[in-house]
Amino acid sequence: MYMAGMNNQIEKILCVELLEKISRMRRYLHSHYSSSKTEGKEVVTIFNSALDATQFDFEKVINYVKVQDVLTPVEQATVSRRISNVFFTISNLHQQLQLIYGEWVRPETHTFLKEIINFFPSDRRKEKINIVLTNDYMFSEDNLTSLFAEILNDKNATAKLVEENPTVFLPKIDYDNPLNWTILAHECGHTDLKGIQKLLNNTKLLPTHIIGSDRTILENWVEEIYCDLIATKVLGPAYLASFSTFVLLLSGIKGNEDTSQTHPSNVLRINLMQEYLESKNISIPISESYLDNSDLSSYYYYMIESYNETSRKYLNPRSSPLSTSIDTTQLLDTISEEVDEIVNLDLTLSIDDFKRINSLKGRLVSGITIGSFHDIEKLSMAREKYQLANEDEIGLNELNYAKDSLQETRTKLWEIINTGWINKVENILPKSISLFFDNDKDSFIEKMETFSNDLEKYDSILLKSIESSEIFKIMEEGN
Amino acid sequence: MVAEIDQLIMDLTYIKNGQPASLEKLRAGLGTLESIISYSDQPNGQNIKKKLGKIPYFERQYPYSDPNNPIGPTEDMLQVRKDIEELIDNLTVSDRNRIEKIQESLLRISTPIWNQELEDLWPNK
Repeated sequence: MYMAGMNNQIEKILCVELLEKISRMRRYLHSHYSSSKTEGKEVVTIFNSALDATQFDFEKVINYVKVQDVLTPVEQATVSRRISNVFFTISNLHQQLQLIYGEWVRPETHTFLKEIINFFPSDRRKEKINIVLTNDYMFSEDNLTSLFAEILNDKNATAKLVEENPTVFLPKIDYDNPLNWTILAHECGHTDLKGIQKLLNNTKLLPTHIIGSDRTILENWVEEIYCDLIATKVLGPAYLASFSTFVLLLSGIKGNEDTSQTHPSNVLRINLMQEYLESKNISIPISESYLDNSDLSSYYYYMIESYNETSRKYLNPRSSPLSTSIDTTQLLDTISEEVDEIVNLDLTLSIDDFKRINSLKGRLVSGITIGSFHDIEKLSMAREKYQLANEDEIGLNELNYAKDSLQETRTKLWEIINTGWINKVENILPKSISLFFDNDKDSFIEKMETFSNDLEKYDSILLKSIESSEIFKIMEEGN
Repeated sequence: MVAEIDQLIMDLTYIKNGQPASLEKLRAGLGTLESIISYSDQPNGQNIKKKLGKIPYFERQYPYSDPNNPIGPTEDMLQVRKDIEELIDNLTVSDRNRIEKIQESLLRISTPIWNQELEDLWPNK
């Protein structure tokens, strides 16, 4: 099960990531089918047949990676292209989920988003951000009011709409996958119009000599980086991990160095997130490694870097739409300053906070919810005090201390999500790689079933943990 | 189109590494390569416009907008076709370096088409 130094490591990880998408789509369909019983059965059947065919085709890629010791760069590029192809098939099938009567957003997603919103200062905090499950496999943010106003296209009718209706869009198959909800934290950043405007007025970021299309592009990029750093600050390495797996699947041989009018390159974005984490000394050690990097964010950061080497060799990235050069250090410094200013300092991560993750990890692997935490150190100190003390020395303070030591305290959202990611890297991925690439005993269908059950088990614990953390919070506030 | 080329590259790996490989699959892959070559072989016609017209790589290589300038296959493609044909005729010729060269050429030839497919499948991302 040990992954360090494994042959074709990225390819195997990405194969598992893709199988996860297939498994999640099946789960989404199944949850629909079991709730509607007979209606829509045919549509679900067609979907399942399409997924069977996709899975069957993808099995060839898995077998290929399985039997080749070390792939050459050309072969790696081919595999990455095949993976992207299957990802696009999944993405296109995802669009057809419009044919399925969808579920409403889970309550845990609202709890998650409420926690994220709380990081914004009260004068810039949205009362509510809507969540909509979307047929497109993409995460985005939009103001529903503007969207509907465009449709009405009539001043009188438009005037009746309320002013703002910030909404984030979540792909349907990730409706119960909290590890990918991290990207919603980025989308929430787009709702902070005041913060964004403040950055756009900053001449360090946007000097007055930059005009026209260059200015528009740079404004877009500044906003994207701002949202990335907000998500990184609020959720730590988990956001970088989630973003990386998404772009690794998407990019294929195209690599991650292309920029667009709306977004800077993925490489630059991930680089800035990584530098931001390093500047804050936020590093979560993991027992797995990639090219000797064994902390959660570096693990994925170097994976992206290494993947790019292959694409760079065979493909010249498109030229940047920006005709002026940008100072990335200045970008990072200025935007981080703003992020540090707005994100509530009481809720930031500290090194001490990260220490608890090891215990939480153990609980999660054992199938126990991690919405609360039992401080074992405190408990043993209380026990020691009791053992040493004479009966008449035990007063009210000692009793309260003992009572406290027995009670579990609430864990924060970022702890739950980062623990989930560590569990994925240290436990789910190695187990799944071993299942799909080393096991010759079970059929592929049996392997998929084992894999899917495992995924569902951890999703369910994480969802319960998010809710129980919220219950603890309400109780704490009540006290 | 690119998926078949990818399959061809993968099948060549099996041959290169002395693992069981299907000759049929190799022939099918060659068929795909043939289609790419035949599209680019034709003079300026509907097929080319439809299949390759949007691909910048081919626009640069073969300026089909000029009706007097027929589109011809690159040396690369012809060489790869020849190499694979030889390989099919004589599977014992499993010179690793030679197969790796063919694989690299296949990847290079198909990359511009893949880029276009990617743009079509996932626009503005």
